[in-house]
Amino acid sequence: MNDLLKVESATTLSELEAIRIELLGKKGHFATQFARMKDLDKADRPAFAAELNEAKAAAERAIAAKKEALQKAQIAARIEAEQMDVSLLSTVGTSGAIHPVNRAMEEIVEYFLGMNYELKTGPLIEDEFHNFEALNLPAHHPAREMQDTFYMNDHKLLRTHTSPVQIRTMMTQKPPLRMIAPGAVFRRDYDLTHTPMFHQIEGLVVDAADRVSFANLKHILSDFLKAFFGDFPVRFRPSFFPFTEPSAEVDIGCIFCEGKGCRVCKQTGWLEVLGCGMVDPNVFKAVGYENVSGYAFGLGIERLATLKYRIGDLRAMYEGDLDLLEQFA
Amino acid sequence: MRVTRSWLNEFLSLEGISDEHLYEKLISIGHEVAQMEHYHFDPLVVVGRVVSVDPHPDADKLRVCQVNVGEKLIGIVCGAPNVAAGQHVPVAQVGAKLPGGLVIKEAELRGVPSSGMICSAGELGLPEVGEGIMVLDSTVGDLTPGWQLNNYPILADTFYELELTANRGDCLSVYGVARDLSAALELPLYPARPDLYDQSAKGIGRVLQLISAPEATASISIKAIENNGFELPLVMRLRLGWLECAPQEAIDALCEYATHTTGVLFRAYDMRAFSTDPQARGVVRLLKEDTFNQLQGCEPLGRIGLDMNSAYRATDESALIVLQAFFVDPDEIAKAAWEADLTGDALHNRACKGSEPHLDLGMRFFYDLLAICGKSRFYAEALTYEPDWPERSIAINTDRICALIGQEIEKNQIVTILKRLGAKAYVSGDQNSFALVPPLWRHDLKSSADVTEEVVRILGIDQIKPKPLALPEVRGATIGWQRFRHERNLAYRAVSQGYFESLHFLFCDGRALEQFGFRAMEPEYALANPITAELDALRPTLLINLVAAAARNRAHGHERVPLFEIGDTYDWQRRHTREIAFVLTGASEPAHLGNHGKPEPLTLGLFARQVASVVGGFRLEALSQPPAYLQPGQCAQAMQGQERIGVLGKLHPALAQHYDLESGWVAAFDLAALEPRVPQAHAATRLQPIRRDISVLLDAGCRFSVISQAISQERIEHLKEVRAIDRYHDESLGDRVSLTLRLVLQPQKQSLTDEAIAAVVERVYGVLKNRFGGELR
Ligand SMILES: [Zn+2]
Repeated sequence: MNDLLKVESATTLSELEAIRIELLGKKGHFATQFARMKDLDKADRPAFAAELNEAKAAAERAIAAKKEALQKAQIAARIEAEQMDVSLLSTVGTSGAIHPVNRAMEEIVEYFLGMNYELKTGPLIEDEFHNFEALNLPAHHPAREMQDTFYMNDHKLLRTHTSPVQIRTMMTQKPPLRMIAPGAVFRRDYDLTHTPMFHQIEGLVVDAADRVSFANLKHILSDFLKAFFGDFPVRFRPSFFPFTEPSAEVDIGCIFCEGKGCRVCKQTGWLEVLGCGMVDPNVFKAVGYENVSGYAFGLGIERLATLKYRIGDLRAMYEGDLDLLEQFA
Repeated sequence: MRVTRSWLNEFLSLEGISDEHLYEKLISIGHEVAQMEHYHFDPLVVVGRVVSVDPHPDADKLRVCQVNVGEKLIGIVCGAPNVAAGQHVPVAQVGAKLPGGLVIKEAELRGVPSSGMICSAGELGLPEVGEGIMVLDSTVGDLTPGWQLNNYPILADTFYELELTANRGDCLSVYGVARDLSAALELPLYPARPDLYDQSAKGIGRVLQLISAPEATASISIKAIENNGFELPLVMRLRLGWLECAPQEAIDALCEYATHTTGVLFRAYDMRAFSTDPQARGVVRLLKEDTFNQLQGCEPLGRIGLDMNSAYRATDESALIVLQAFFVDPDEIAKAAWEADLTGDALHNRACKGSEPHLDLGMRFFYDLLAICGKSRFYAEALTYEPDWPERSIAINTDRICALIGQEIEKNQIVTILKRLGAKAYVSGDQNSFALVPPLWRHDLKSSADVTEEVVRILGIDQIKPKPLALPEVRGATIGWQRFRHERNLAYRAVSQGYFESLHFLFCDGRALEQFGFRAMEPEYALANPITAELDALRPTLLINLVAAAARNRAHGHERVPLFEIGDTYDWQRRHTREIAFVLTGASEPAHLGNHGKPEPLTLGLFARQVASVVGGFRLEALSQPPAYLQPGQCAQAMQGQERIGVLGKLHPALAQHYDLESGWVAAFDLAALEPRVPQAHAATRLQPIRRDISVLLDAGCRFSVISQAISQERIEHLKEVRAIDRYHDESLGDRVSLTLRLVLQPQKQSLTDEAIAAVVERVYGVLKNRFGGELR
């Protein structure tokens, strides 16, 4: 019994280990006791051994139990000692952010890549042929007034839309064709709702004659808008672009007021988001395509991004404004 | 294009069609409605007749009026100078609420009671029609005292502002919009009225004759007006107010109003243009010169559809006005003007978009207009010339139309729609083919695709059911996609380093080019028409706009500004490079618990490591000629192999000062140089590398890049890498420094003996000693 009390008195694992050696070590208490056995009568030995074995086993159990208890206490003490105010370690503000325009652009590109469109790019500095003439916009066309163009002294120009990439692609690749062309475009317009540079994604699908229809165009754009904005109504309105015929503009039900009418949608309940149409035969003629049909569309990325992310000031997007960018972290 | 419901009602009956229905219909046929506004007045605003006007006993500028408002006479004190007995005027009675929020109450003005207000157009929310109160006239309807103003459709009208597309010049008039609506709503236009011209008037032949060249390609119609003065009626002033159009001369107002209503283009000349002798008959000549149709009187009077000799423009003083209506082919006049590099006047722009070819329609309207504008009258008859306008025929196959739309539509339905739009269809043998001749006013209809759009428009775009398109497989993972992916991957890495992606214009301030040390673009390549002086150049580096953005953010109180951009740049010869660039001002990292709120100041080494985490590892080498924007001795070119992939360093203190930054770090890399290469793996040995550090005393000016290159040129076997791990200096070393190099040896087939290792160290030391005067410490 004495032994067990001793075990119980241990307060640390090292004390316990000392007691264990004292009791169970090679020269410890029990070893000494067993050594005494040879001095006893043979008849007394079994009883002595049994008693001693039992006492030893009891000591071993007590030590094991005590060890477990002490180990638990040690861990608990360590946990207690290492308590801290984790709220001090906030990592808010350590990550940067992707620009909202590129964030939207990537999302749009991924959608159309998923629909098996090829991604194409083209130069920002263009010529009249690719930017206008091949797109059914001859020099005297009144529609050229719609676009105010930046010119260079050598009569090159900054592309006013991503549509010249269509022309460049069609002139180097045979149909069928399914492409998108994201990138920067330029117009001489700078006010609350216009910046002289902005971004578009152009889409073009061409296949054999009579294969591609306006109904197909309605399908892909309705689906895209649902993927991008969620479940809002989509409206097609007849419109006019020189390079498509028939042409349409596409609206979605206002995401701010759900169609009831508000300041953003100018009380109409609709937001204009993109333009599209069936490729005008004159465009196919300019690139030497025959017996084909196709559709094209153009998305304004700033427009989609400001709507989706509810950005109020278009111009802040081009000022590297951390107050805006930090909201995208 | 601005129209109102009552104005449209002059050409077709919109009875039973609500404002909202009209709004939806206009949008569905491609005329976007930018604004719709219904004018409505308080029921207590009524027609009043001014019975008497007396001076106010106690105020010079006020008048005391007795006004009949139906069942009673009320006294109103009025300050308007144009009030007079006998006038019909709008009266807001006590209790009426005006659009501005004013509620009319019983009042007393300088001792005289006043029980209402005689209103100006502006006070009723209408466009201003002149000084003072709005005097009603019979052009708004029968004026009965006591009747609500709401009963007069010309006043309680609905205003629509349409955003016409560039191809629809035919809808640049109220008549044109009405005609398009008549096709869409299946409502007939009112038939043209029989000729009502005053037969008793003098014939135009007494004063003018027309001689036209047979090759002329313009329609003209000429009438003469005996000018006895013009008084513009209220309906016209109100509508011109809606158009925000206020010409000085009444004759110009009449032309503008007639053109806006009918689409016919008018020019008014003084008779002196055609005859110097008032007694003699004038001669109008229509000539064809080059590509233009020229009008000639005593002198050339202008090219039809382009300009006019303004010396002969009619004024309200002209005793005899020669009114000319004209039509030219819009495409032809646009092309002719462009080829001759001529800018025409405002009417030229209208002529290019497309105007109304039925000149008689405009002349009839003008005739009716004169009848309500005073005593001026037309001479009888007109002098006209009309060329044989060729019928343009478009081959139509309804199968093609259906395929383009993606839906079956019956041939009859298609033909009916096109006929409603004024086209003629000549059906031939083939069941589904016919020849279509579009009306003269639809010059925009040129191909089967244009005609398909008309079918879609009138049929209703909503009637087309979306259908997915089956297409053969193509490879989407093109070069374009790979580059896009690579750029985005770089962007995400930069974001994980705490950088914010910024986007800036391709333009920059030309004055900054010199500050940054870039050559201005050769004039030949430069922007011809920049939008502002601050955006007059194309950026040769992303850094110009990024540094400015960093400075703006600092000015807005951001302590630390880490920005990056991926974008296009153009050098002085307009060669294109796509770059990724970084700017960082402030501390190396945000303040946090770990750095006790005192983050280490940024060093070139720390900045280089952040940038390398994005673009991949690189060696830093001194720049022999650092660009002006970098601080000498704190900048480097980033090298991979023998290729320079970018530059980085501390912003030059002079620039930092200019931008009010205490310091800044910038880096710019060429994206083409960062394109991922295909890794080429080689067999890896399991033998552990051995590292040995040696410290050498060297001249302080000795560059590590030079040392490193010299060692690598020795091609020492087993030596894999030499890395600088410490540089130490104290006074005892004088002009020398202690450089510690870590040599990494990689055994290939078997472990290296101590002798072999010592031999490598010895050879490295040999290079340091012999080439650089190095001394082992
Ligand atoms: Zn809304």
